[in-house]
This record gives sequence, C-alpha cells and structure tokens, in this order.
Amino acid sequence: MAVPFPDIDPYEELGVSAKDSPPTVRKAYFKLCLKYHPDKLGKVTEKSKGEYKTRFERIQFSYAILGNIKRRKRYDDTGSLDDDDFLAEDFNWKDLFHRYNSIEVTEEM
Amino acid sequence: MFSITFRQSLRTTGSTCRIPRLPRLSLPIRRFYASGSTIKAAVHKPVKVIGIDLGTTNSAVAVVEGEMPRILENSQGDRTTPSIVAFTTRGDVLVGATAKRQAVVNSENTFYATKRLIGRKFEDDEVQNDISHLSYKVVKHENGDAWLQTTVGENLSYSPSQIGGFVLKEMKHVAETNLNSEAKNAVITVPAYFNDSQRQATKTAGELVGLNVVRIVNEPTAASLAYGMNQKKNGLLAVYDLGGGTFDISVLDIDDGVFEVRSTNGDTHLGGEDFDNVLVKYIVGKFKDSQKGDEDITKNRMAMQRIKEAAEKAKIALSHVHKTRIQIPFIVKDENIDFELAESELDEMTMHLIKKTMEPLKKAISDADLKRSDIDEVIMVGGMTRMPRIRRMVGDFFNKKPNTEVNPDEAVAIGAAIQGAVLSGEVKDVLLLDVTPLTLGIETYGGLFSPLIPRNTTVPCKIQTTYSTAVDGQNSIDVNVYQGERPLVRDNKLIGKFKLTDIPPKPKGVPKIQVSFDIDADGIIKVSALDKDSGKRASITVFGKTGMSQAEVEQLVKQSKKTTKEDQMTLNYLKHVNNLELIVFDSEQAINDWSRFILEEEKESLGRKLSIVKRMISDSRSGDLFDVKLIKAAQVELKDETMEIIQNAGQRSRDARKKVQSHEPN
Repeated sequence: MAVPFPDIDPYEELGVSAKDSPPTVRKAYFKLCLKYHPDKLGKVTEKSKGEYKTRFERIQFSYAILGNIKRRKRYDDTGSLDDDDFLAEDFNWKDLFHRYNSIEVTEEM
Repeated sequence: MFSITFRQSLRTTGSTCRIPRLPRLSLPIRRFYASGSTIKAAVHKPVKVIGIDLGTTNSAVAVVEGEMPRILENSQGDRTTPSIVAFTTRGDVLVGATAKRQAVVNSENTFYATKRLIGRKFEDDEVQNDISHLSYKVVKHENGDAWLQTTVGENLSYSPSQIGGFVLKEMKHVAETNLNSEAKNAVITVPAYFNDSQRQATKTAGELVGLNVVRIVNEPTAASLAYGMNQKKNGLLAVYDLGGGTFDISVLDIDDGVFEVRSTNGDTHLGGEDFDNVLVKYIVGKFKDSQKGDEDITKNRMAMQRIKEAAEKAKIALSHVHKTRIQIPFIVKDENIDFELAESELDEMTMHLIKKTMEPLKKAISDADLKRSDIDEVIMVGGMTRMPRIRRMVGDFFNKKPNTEVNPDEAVAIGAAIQGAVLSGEVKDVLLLDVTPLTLGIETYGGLFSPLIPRNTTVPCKIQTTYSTAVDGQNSIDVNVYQGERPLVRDNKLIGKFKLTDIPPKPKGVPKIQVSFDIDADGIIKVSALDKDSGKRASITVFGKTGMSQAEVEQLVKQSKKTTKEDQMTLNYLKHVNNLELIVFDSEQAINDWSRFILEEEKESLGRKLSIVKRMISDSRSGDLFDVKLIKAAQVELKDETMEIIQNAGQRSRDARKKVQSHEPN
C-alpha cells in the first residue's frame, strides 16, 4: 500500500517535537482538527476547501503514526512511515498463523 | 452472477456522492428563495438541522435552539413515537401509536422492528431467524434484499428503507408542527456497528421522503454528545447502548469539546426484540402445558400478537418491580393465560442474551488500548438498559456504577440535534471524530480477505492502492470489496463488486491503476480509480450491492410526491370539515338562543340534519369519509336551513312583540 505523503514530517505537521508526551501530541492533533476537520469548514471559501482537505488528510496521516506508540517508535528509530505491521519487530507471526489455521476446512474449499 | 444480481451502474468520480442529489419535495423554502431580494438574509442565518433517532421500536426527534437541545413532542404529546407503520385495506398508511393500537387486528400489515432488516439480504441468517418471530411476511426482492409484503392492494411490497421513510416523514412532520417551519435538513442516527449497506439504506430512507440527510451519526456517539454537552467533563467514556434491536459499545475520549471515538463494537441483531421473543416462547410453553383444547396457538396471529404485547409489558414492568402478573383473558375460546412472573425468572431465561454483550465490550476496551479501570464514566442508552440485571452486570464489569443522568430514550436524538447544530455552525468548539466500525478490505487469491482500512480508523479517511494486470493485454480487473473481521471473505459482508474496465492493452504488470477507497463521515464507502499512465479516470461498475437502483429511488420519490399531494388534499378537506363544524356550533347556539320562537317541527328537522352532519364530521376525521362536494353541500344546506329557521323565529318574535304592544293600554 502506498504511503500517501512520502515526504511528510509528522512532528512538523502537528507542530510538536519528538520529546512531547502522547497527551501533548493528542491535544495538538485535536486543536488542528477543530480547525481543519471537514465539519468545521462552514466559513471557508469553496476555493480553499481543497487545500483544507489535503491539510486534514496530512494531519490524519501524521496522527496515525504519532498517536500509535508502536508506529511512533518505529518512525523515531527508522524514519519509516509505512503502516505495514509485517515489518514491525514485535509482529506476532504465531498469531497470524493461528488466524489462518483456525479456518475450518470444508468440502466447499 | 450478472443475471441474478441487481445491477446498479454508477460512475464514481473523485469524491462525488454515491446517490446523486434527488429532487426535493415540499417547496415553501424554494418559493422563499425565488422571491429574490431575501436570498442574502436567508443564507446568513444558519439552516436549522433536526436530529432524528430512527430506532428499532421507538423514534425521537430533537432540535437545538439557542444552544439548548430539546426533544420535540408529537401530536399526542409523547416524546417518542413507535417505529411502526401499518397499511389498512382502505389504503391508509398509519404511523406511530395509531399503527401500534391496531396491530392486534391487522398484524399482517403492521410493520415493526424493520430496522433489523434494513440493508440486509433475504438469505442472511439474521433475516431467516427473524422470519419465524414476525407477524408479517418477509420476501426476497429481485436484487436479493429482504422486503416486506402486505396483504393490501395486490400484495404490495415495501423495502425496509421505505418503511423507515414513513417513520422519518412522521418525525419530520412532528418537527415541522413544533417549529412552525419546514424541516428539511436532518441528522439521522444508526447503530455504530451498522455496515455500509445498512447506512446507505438508512440514508435512502431519508431521501425518499425529501429529507436532506446532512449526516449519518452513530447512536452511542450521539449519546456521548448529549452527555458531554451537559457535563463539560473531560475523560474516557464508555457508552453501552442496548436498544430494541441492536447493541453497540463505544469508547470515547472527550477533551475540551473534541469527542474522539477510540473504538466501537457491537451486534446489529441483539436487542429488546430478542428479549421479547424469549418471553413469548416462555408464555406459549406455559400455556401449552395447561391447555385443555388442541388449537395450535402459534398459528393464531391475533393470539400471538396479544402474547407479544403482554410479554413486552411484563418485561418493562419487571424493570421497576420484582414480580408481575401476565394475564391474557380468552386467549383462545374459553381459555386464559394468567400466571405470575418474577424478575429473577426473566433474568435467568435471558441470561444468554445479556452475556452476548460481554464479548463486544471486552473487544472495544482492548481495541482502544485500555484497561477496564481506565474508563472514567459509563453511560447507558436504549430502553433495554433499564433492566436491573443489565445495569448490575455493566457496573460489575467496569467496577463502577453507571451514570444515570442521560435519558436512555432521548439521549440519541438530543445528540443528533447537537451534531446538526455543529454542522450548521450554530454550536462551535464541538467536534466529533468518529470511526469506521468494520475493517474494509478486498478479496485476494483463494478467497482471503486482505484488509485496507482497519476498524476503528477515524473517518473521513482515504486509502489508495495500485492494481496491475496479471495477463498480457488484460483490459479489466475485478475488485470485490468486503467489510468484516474474519480472515475469509465468505464470512464477511460483500459491499460491492467493482470492475475496472477500458485498461489499455499492455504487457502484464505494466498498467498501473490507482484505486482510492474513501470512507466519508457518514461511514459510507466510495471507490474511485485512476489510470496512472494516462491520468484518466478508470471506469468502475458496481453491482451486487444491497439497496435500490437510482431508477427505483426516483420512482419512489415520485410516488411520495404524489402522497404529499394527497396529504395536501386531505388537509384541505379537513379544513372544510372544520368549517362545517363551526356552522354546526353556530346552528346549535342559535336554536338555543331563539328556542322560544322556533316550532317543534323545525327543531326536529334541524336536529335530524345536525346529527347527520355530526356523523359526517366524525367519519371524515376518522378517514371513513372523503367527499369534498358532500361536505360543501352540507355547509350550504345547513347554513340555509338555520338561516330560514332564524328568520322565521325573528318574524315570530316581532309578531309577538307587536301583539303585546297592541294589547298594551296607551
């Protein structure tokens, strides 16, 4: 799956630093949402709506990384924006196999 | 596949809506706009948005006025309206309490709990399971959806969306009567765990009756708004919502006006109806044990309807008292049902249903990356949460007494109205960040489900993925989209089949088609595709979807326009009837005033006429009579006769006075 914004710096996007705690990051994200969320664009002109939309997508994407402890750590360590769980070090392969093993084999298959 | 599935051809480009804008119905506002100079003033004033809780058993409507949300009462003064629609042999459509009242005598044409069928296929297990409990007939529509069949007309059938539409229309009417203005824009709520088809079908229901559905909101989320607006407290909130037909659990993080849903889970087929069904079965069993005759009571629709009503009543009573009596006299011929039921018995027989809510509860907590003890407050919504055993269980689970400050029947509509006011700009500094309840994914080789957007992702959201061809010269790609949590697609819900066509013939793997999956704030999915080389939008065809085709929707809108016209006619007619009644009052008053001078035979003749006219009035009001000409003729006739009698009486009174005067000595 393609990373939608490969050049993004999620910290810069949310206006926080790498040292900030999760609650601070979340607060910053909420503040931006109150401004850029599509529900809050009543007064924005039709012309700049497109800009706001992209901005909101960038905010969402940044928070998807920084709001998740594992993904934030991976970004801090490797700079990876990927959300592919398979790449994570602590990915539980046993769980995955168990998931597919639990499938009942029937004649249909 | 092509021949049996119902085809809906729609082109999705960019972010356009799946259902194109429909022609709107009633038009006073348009007339207002058309008058020209007032346009500016109208635009600046925020447009009122009503909030409708379209429930399985009851519905409610609310609006925010001066930042205060309030529930709007219906014409009977009730704050909720039964979500029941009935069709009579005379062709009338009854909605709400009037429909509920006649359920016993018209059970085949009285549709209740249809929300459990909305956006579902006839073959779904849940639908098949419900059929045995329902007093009306469920049939398979040509596209495979579950529809409802009446015995009126030529066995007319309706989609659950249409039935929902009738209820929405009634709620719209309630709002308009209260607000004294047109209510055109609405936020409608759905269970959080509703999938794409169910959401789409609910939106269609609103559009069918001319509502502009500005947002579909999840019920527990709406309830949290009602709670949060009141309390202004920050923290982690769990909403346990067990209604008439569905169960939802949502975990929210409230922080200075931002309501972020952390996770949601549920069961779209678990609610009060199931509790009733268990109790009905118990009552039937109890009756059969002592039955003297040999009639199979389960085949007797009227008896079953009475048992159902008694079951619901007993269940409600046991939320307040420990013991209640179930009494149904003459259930068949000369036999009665009469026994006592204890709260503990009800608890025991429904324990499996109560326990069914535990698994989603645990999942929601773990999906939110939380422990039970992290939750600061628990609120309970939906009529079923009045059951003490359920309150106890939820309290034990969180080790915390549930907050009882929100009204379980009204919180959802109140929350919908608040969200409406947020969208209209009337309420500022409040924002809902809701999530998609189910994982969205596509079918990959071998029938495996490959997730694209995981559940509990904040909406609106978008994901792009690139497809290519597997064979040289391949010019189309099939993409099957599913929602669900199971590893095999066949266990998940098919949302739509997309076919990317017109791919230029190239060696395999060369074409790059970028497909975007969008989930909008309503939780409804849109798909669009772009050919990366040419930059052209790729063609997409959707089929196999649940729901109605554009043509069907338009046809139904046309129909409902006609009904609006019919409504107008009825309204006009009733105005004439009211006029006639005024004339009756005047006549009666006059006879009283002039009594001394009116001949007995005149009194009798007018009295006869008055009693006939009064019958006509009451028949008109009950819908048994509809004849404008007759009413108009009665107006004229009654007026003329009264006038004549009064004139005669006047003459007699003058004569009498003359007589008296001539006898008086000068």
